[in-house]
Amino acid sequence: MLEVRDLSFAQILQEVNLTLHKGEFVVLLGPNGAGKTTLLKCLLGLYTPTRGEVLVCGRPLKHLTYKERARLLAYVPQSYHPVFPYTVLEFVLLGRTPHLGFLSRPGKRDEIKAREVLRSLGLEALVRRRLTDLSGGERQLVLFARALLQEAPIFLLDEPTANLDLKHQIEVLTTVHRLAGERGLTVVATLHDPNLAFGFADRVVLIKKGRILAEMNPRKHPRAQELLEELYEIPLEILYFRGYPLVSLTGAFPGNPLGGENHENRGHFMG
Amino acid sequence: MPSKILPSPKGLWRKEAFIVTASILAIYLSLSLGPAGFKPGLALKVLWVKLWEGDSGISPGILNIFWEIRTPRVLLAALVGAALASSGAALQAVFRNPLVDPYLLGLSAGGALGCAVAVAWLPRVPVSLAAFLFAYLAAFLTYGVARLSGEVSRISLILSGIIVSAGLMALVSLIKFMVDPHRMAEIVTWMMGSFALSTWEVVKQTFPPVALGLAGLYLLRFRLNLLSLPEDEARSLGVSVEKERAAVMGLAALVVGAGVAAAGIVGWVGLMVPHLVRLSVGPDHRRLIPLSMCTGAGLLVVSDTLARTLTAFDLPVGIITSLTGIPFFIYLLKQQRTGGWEYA
Repeated sequence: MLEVRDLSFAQILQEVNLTLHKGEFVVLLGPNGAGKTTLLKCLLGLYTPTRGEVLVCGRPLKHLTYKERARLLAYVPQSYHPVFPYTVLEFVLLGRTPHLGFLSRPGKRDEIKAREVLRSLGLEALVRRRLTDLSGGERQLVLFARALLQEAPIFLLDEPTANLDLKHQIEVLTTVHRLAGERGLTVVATLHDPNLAFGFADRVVLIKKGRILAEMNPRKHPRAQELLEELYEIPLEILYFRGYPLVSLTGAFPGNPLGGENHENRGHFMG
Repeated sequence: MPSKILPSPKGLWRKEAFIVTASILAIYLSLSLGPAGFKPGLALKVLWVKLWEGDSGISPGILNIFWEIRTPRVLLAALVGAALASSGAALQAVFRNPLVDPYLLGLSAGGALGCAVAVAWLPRVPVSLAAFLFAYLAAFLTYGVARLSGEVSRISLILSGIIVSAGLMALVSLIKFMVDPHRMAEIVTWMMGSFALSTWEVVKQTFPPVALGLAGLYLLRFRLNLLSLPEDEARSLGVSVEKERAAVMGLAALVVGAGVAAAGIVGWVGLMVPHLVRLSVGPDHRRLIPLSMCTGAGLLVVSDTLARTLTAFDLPVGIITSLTGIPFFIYLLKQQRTGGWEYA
């Protein structure tokens, strides 16, 4: 579905290789500045790689026009505060752009589709609300609704849970996961919380300093603890609970025998 | 919170109808108002005489004043008002900044320099032609300076607009300092904006570029919604951001340059009208652009009518628009404290 071959971008990404299969839910995990977002933008064609290439459905991304790309790849940015207070309906209709001519505007049929998508996300009550009046979680789902209207097979989400409370993090990810399943979408999302990554992903890709450190099966990986400690350079433990791995940071807490003054002894993790 | 919900489509339609009707009515009533008093029937009669060659028994003197002086003046104010307001709305979208003014691209300073040069040294060149050419030169200069930083970004364009305007205005001041005081008065009046010298000739020169530019902005109104998004998002939706943004700026420069050439620098209309319309119907450019054209036309015609009837003098219309614009923005500032700014 989506293939990355020997991709390098400036000093940020180095020789990244990655293959995504249809219907897969892949999470990119890594510390700030590791290059997750840059990789996402290379996948979208927003950044042109210095070396290597990206193939979408077997076609090189660089040979596609913006419009063709928009029909294959849907981008869901981090929720932000908009400049202009469009209504939810006006805003999600922008997702129909890749299916419209240059001078045409969305019509009745597009509006029906928009309402359907909003209903499937449980947002029908927000149709006429203004973007500026929504909570962060609602706005994130509205951005997802707009992406759904592109009717693209591949979704790229940049930290969809950033700045959300626990409830809304789960709500957003559950919704994305459910719709991806229903519609057979391929999803790539960057996340910061390894627990959420293990809970929702089919595959977790660890990125450190612009390179892929490892790819993990989230349910079971013999070196999971070692890899995550290397990734984040902090001491942590992985416990298994009801078949799910749980990342525990108690080792790093002050007063804990593994943390506190012992922390210095583990200095090699501080990189 | 019902007040936060957009009015129903029916309510919106009513607001649109109100804005369009009020603008047309304001223009018609302005045609009827002049030194000879308020004569609402006269405009229709003259149109009857002029367009269908009917006979109404109006004295040739009144007919002449009405058709040769007042009508072109009102038409020109309507054209310039529509041009300033809709290009203001369009530029606010592409710069993602509701405080952007259509003169941002250096057009006003360029126009002023053209006027000053023509008045000081080129008596044979019409002021409007010089202003028109210099306004475009200034817009190109702004774009060129913005390109020096590599990529033409929003912030580099705003900065280069400020730089170019400041540089050109310094040259205007230099000319004003050197030129003889009688001629300086002409430059000063021009810079305050006025329709006092409107003739059918000016209307004929102004109409083609303004009509072309307005048609373009109208056709691109949905694209403006897209261009008002962060660049990466617009691109990911299939928009060629640089090209489309350049097209919008070109159209805005076309209409504003023509407006500057016709009437000088009329402040506040391009900034104020889009805010006013957004307060009423929201920011969707599919509505905002056409309604800004209507409101801009109506507002500038009314302002110009005030300018010519309020006192015994023919005041520069820019003074009227500034005096009405400033209280409006103070009102917006007050709204901001209660959270209303986002609608503006």
